Amino acid sequence: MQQADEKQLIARILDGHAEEYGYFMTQYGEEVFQLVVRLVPVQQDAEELVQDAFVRAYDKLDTYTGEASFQTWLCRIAYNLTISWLRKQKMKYTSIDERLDVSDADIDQLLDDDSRIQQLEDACTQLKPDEQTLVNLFYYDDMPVRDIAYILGMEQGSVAVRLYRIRKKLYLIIKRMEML
Amino acid sequence: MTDRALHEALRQQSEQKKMHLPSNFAYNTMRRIEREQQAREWRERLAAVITIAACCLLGVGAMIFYYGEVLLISFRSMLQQQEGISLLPGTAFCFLFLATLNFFLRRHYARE
Repeated sequence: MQQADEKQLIARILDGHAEEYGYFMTQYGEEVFQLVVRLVPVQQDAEELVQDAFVRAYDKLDTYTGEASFQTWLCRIAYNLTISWLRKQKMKYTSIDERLDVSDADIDQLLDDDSRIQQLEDACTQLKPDEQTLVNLFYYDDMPVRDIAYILGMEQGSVAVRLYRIRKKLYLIIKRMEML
Repeated sequence: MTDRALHEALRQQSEQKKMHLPSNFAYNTMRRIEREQQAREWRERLAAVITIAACCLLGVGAMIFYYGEVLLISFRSMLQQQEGISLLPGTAFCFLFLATLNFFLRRHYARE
């Protein structure tokens, strides 16, 4: 369904055909769930957060302006709810002194090295939730930078800067793991 | 820069803990939306009733406070005069007619 059709569907839902909202759940439920489950790897909690996101989106349906696709809009709501939920859990994440000087060539080499896949997997779990989301959306989902910026609530120009810092952070986490 | 290893790490990480939404997710969520909508409508209705009741009480209270004595005197004098009492059936009929009209019009337009 095109974005214009989805807008028509939204208009119908707002007009009282609430049952048609089920279309969005069938269509985008799994994508939203995959976004949430990367940050909250517990089935029940992730499911509840996705449900909260859909309920919130339904309540705020009249505020959807169409500046992003409906799926991206849903992802943004789900992401914000997940981040709030994680804050309440008071989870601790690895902090790294990012001021350390590392050459770009070293970072490139490490992130291209197939023998470090396992280390990179472990390092990714130590990233902050917003960093994990950014990396996954960019590398795994191949999402356009514009949509990533919308979901994370940041400027498009900042996405590249954040990615650069995250790559450096991954490098530093792995180097620290090696020293232990 | 291809970040090939990072790509692969994320892919493997995602494959390892592959979880899915249950098939009844949409149904359960729709039920929850319906329940929350009903609860919200009920709360709004209750708030409206309380507001109207409070306004009515305030209005009646203000009338009694400011004009109570005058109204009582007028009512007594109306009861004492024959013409005053003769107005009562007409007023009661008008009131009933307008209340019935109001009821049917509300029912008719509420359906649309």
